[in-house]
Amino acid sequence: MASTDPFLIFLQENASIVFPLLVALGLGLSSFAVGRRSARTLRVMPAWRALPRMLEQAAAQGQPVHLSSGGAGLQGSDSLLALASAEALYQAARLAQGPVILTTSDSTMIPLGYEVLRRAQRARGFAGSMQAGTLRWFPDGPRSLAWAGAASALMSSEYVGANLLVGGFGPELALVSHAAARRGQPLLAASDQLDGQAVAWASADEPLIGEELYFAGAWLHPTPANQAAVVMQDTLRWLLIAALLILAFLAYNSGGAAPA
Amino acid sequence: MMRSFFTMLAVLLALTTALVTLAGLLLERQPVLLAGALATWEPLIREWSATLLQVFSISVAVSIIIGILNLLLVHLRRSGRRETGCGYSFVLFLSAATVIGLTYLERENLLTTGAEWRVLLLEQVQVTVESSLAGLLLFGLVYGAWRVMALRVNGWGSLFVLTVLLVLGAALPLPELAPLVPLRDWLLAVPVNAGARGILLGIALATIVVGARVLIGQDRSLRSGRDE
Repeated sequence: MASTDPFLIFLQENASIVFPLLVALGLGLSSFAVGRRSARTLRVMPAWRALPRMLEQAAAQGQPVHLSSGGAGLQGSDSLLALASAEALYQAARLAQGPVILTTSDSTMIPLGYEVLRRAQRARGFAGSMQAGTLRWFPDGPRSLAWAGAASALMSSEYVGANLLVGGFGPELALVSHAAARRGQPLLAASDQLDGQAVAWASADEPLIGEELYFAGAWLHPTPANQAAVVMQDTLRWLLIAALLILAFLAYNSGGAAPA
Repeated sequence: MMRSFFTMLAVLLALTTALVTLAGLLLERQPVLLAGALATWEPLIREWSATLLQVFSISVAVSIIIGILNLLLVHLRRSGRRETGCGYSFVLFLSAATVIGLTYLERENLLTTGAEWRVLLLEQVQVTVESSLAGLLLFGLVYGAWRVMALRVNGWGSLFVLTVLLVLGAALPLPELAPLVPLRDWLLAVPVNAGARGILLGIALATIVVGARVLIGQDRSLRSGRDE
């Protein structure tokens, strides 16, 4: 049975406009509220807590850090994942005290990757041009196997000290994580794809699950804007949980039929 | 001063582009809310939105050329400096140059052997190599399951391995393991399905927040270097 309430009809027809506007408004308000309060306590994410230590160890051994966004790129539905991935890679590149190698299998990530590395270099206080070969593009193939093969070889030939793989990965992540484990290289990984996420959980040193990939900024550089994003995300999650519970309750009461 | 001006300009350009493209896409789908407010601007927004999408398509094509140049230069440099693994780099550079050369010769009808060498190389080399890598994936996955117990000897790790064993066991065509099949089906239909949906919903919510941050100029790619 369809709803006849004009307000509900309006909301249904304009959800794709109203919802992002409400989220944007919520983000603005959250930034203001977080900015007025002292540091907000974030929920524990062992992977982001372990990252600075991993980077320090790599620097102490004089080894480069391997960062990758996998198949995430600035086209289609992956665009926002690519931006979130770029933020995580920027934070890692900023905190790394040694050289960094960034790999990607999506060509649209190349300009963004260079920007990430350039900004990180500036944040670390290095002037001058970037070293050639810091960013490497490995062409995409079915399930990014070409990237997996090339990245595994790179991890060996460049004597990588730590790996951070956040972005779009499928089961091919198993090849890279296997290569990292064989060489005793620490690895943190997260993917927006379920099969890649399962492999990442099983093989990474510390797990990062689902939306935790998007929390890098809040954990590693807790500015009011970054923390507001977490507040907004948590609020939306609780609202969604409440909506699901209410709908399930209504469905149960109406004899199993989904409420209109 | 000059840097701040260019940063402002870039932010303004990015936000205008994002809003015009969004408005153009929304006008195509749900003009109810926008119809009244943007009635006079609608043709212009649609035109700008289409033009911006075309510019984006061209940018993607250019980024592929940049990618190919990046690939060739990085591996040429590695070969020249005789770094570790330079042999692989040389083979890669040679292969890429060969494929580019063959493609050009075939397009210009200068290669008259009858066989399509480019396709032959792709099918006989690329597909074969990637198939063997796909075969290796199995070992990587098994090793991953083993690492779960090595890294996380706790309740969740044990549950993960037990679930894997249960699902794999139920897939075997052995009559002794038939009682596992209904349990496997329930496991996949209820807890696995619910967990997968939970993860995807979490990612979707996070994606919406990132999108909203881009639209209000809070994303790092739109900010100046002051907070670095």
